Amino acid sequence: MRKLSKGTTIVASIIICIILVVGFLVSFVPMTFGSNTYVSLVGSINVSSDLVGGMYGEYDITTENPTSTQLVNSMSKIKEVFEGEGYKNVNVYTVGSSKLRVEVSYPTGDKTYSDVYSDLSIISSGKFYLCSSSSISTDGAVVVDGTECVSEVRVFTNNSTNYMSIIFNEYGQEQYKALCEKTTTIYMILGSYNQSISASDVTDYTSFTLSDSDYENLMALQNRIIIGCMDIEINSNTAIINTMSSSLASLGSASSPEENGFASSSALILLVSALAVVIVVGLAFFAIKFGLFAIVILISLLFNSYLFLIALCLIPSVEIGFTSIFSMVLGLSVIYIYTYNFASSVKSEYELGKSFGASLESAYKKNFASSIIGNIGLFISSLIVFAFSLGEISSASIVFAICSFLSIITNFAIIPLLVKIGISFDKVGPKLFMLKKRNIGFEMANDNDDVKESK
Amino acid sequence: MKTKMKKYPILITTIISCLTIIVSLFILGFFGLKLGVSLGGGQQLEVVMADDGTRASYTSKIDTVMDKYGYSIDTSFVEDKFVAGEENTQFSRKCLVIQFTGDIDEETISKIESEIAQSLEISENYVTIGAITSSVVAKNALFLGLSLVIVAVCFFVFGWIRYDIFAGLSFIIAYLHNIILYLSVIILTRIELSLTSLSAVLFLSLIMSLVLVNIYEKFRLANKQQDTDKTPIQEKMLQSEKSVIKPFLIICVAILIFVLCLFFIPSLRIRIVALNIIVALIVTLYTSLLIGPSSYVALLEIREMNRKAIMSRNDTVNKAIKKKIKRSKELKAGEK
Repeated sequence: MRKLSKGTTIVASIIICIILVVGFLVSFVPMTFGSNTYVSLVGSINVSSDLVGGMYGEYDITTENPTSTQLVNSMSKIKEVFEGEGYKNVNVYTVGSSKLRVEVSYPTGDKTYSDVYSDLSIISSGKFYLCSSSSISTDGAVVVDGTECVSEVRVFTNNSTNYMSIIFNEYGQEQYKALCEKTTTIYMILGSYNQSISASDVTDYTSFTLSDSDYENLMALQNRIIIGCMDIEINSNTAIINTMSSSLASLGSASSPEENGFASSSALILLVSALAVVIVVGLAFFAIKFGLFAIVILISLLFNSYLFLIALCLIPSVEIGFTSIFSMVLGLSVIYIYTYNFASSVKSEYELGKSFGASLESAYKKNFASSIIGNIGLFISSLIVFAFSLGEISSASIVFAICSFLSIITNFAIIPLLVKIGISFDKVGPKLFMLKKRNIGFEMANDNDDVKESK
Repeated sequence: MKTKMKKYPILITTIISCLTIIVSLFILGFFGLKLGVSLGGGQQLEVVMADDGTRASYTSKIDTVMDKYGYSIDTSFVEDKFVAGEENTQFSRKCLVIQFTGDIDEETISKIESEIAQSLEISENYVTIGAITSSVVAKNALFLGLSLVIVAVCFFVFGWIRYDIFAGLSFIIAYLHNIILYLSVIILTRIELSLTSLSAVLFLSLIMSLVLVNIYEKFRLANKQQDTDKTPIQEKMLQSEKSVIKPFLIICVAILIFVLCLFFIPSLRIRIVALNIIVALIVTLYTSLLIGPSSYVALLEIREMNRKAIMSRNDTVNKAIKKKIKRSKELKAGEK
């Protein structure tokens, strides 16, 4: 590994310093520009309800003695709809046999409290019916019950017009055909929502189609219909939607849900502190064993943290919860493993009598295969888990995937580059990396090598 | 780290793993798996709080009552709730929600409710207990299982392509062993299993495969460099493993430090997860250092034995053929 020229070293060092400072500001410091506020990368991370609290909806089930299959199917539908809306860690469960509870985290990004409120209101917006009259209780009304008849709801755009298609199952097609034959107007009923179409316009009994110029409206309606076709019925008048505190916040603090902001959640602070302890102990270990390598790791960890935050902002569906913080620790350990392998290889190569530069190069080559294979393996397997798993685990696996990707960058770009810049400074010698030659004969011969190489 | 081990204790490790799994299966049959609220559901206790009430004071009093009946708080949080007042009015109040595991009968519910109301000096109407279900639906669990299978298959294919089919098999053996043994230990120790614990063992299994990749890479290199070397496979593998142990122990120490910090968080759920992580870490350490490489070695040795058996059989056949030829030549010579 050749030393860089003095000029290149200074320019590279200045660029690194600028990146570190700007990265720190962008990542951790909130700023105000006139009327605009930039919340920093850390501030825009989605944090799950187990760490900072969130909002919940509690609904009374009006279906008498619902079976467990009906409950599970309905819970799955709610989860699906909310995950489709970008909520990651959605907790849906029943309290007793008469209450359904949905918990989501505090809104971040574009979503506001009222958005979350209206999303949670969807659940109690009512059951979906098609009817020959504007009310299903009208005598002699022909009713198509969404629960029994709808197989799928789809929103699509064709020739710049937005459509929502409610596709019926076989039984639904028969019911829909019977309805069309017995009435001139078909009413779509969904709680207080009521829309009608002329039965004479219907030519296809496989689906019921509506159009709207606003795509978002149709998407919202689609979610309401999916939930309106649930196996169980919800009382639309008694729903409770409100805020809840973190379940991990320290017992002494946070006695009110509103007190659980990002900064005030002591559980979050404790978890982040635990993560910091792991980093500090790791750096101390590297400082004792490999000297200046600790500084190299510290700088590369700073780079990693910026890249990690940028990646999290690019994937807004990820919510950082307790499991994700654990996977960060694992990701950090992966970075430590390969840095240790690299540093100890440099040490053993140097002990064998090679020059500092040659030791670095040889260590880099030796660790290349195992490092690249291991990290790519981790990256792919975490992506597979992410693709198939549920909320909490899926967020943690994407965090782990990002960490293994960063480990590749750290080991093949950042650390070699930083070491290269480091050794280009005249005062930074092998001794600062705790490197010693095994015997004097070798040392003398190779010190000459080092001198030649630096020249 | 100096090790005197010259051979893998394959027999001992197999006996330990099999015994643990068999005993845990018996325990599973009799007592079942202890699941946390997130996986198996449980009970939810709701207490309407006074305006000046704090979570700490309420929780400690409730904990005392619940402890008497053998229940302990898994999760607790505060939420805003509209409570029915007089003359059909509603007002917003803070409500403490506590979740805990275990079955409970109607009689015990009413006893606990009244005792909690007494200790908090509030009306019994402000305390309610109801059963809650798991928030994990079967479809999600099925998908997670599917992802585990796909990851295992990927490791098998990777091991096969990069090293040989036996390495691929050893990846699968180690991966499955890690998860099954972890579950067995959890069943044996009756520690609660939660979704977070499951994900911990899943990620630790991935880390384990990374360690195995490192060991097998060194082993591959050693095999390439020492083609003519007569060093037994076991010794070569142990040497490769020795060079990987240190960084792996660094990981374990880093995770242990994190886990020890978790014990300072005053939440039973987190402490149970921390315990789970410790169990998963020990199992992963055992699997990646003893089961994974030793299964690879065992498979390679079986292949060697088979090869030798075939070679010796071929030798015998060759010798017999040579003998026959020699005899026939002799016979022919005799005839002439």
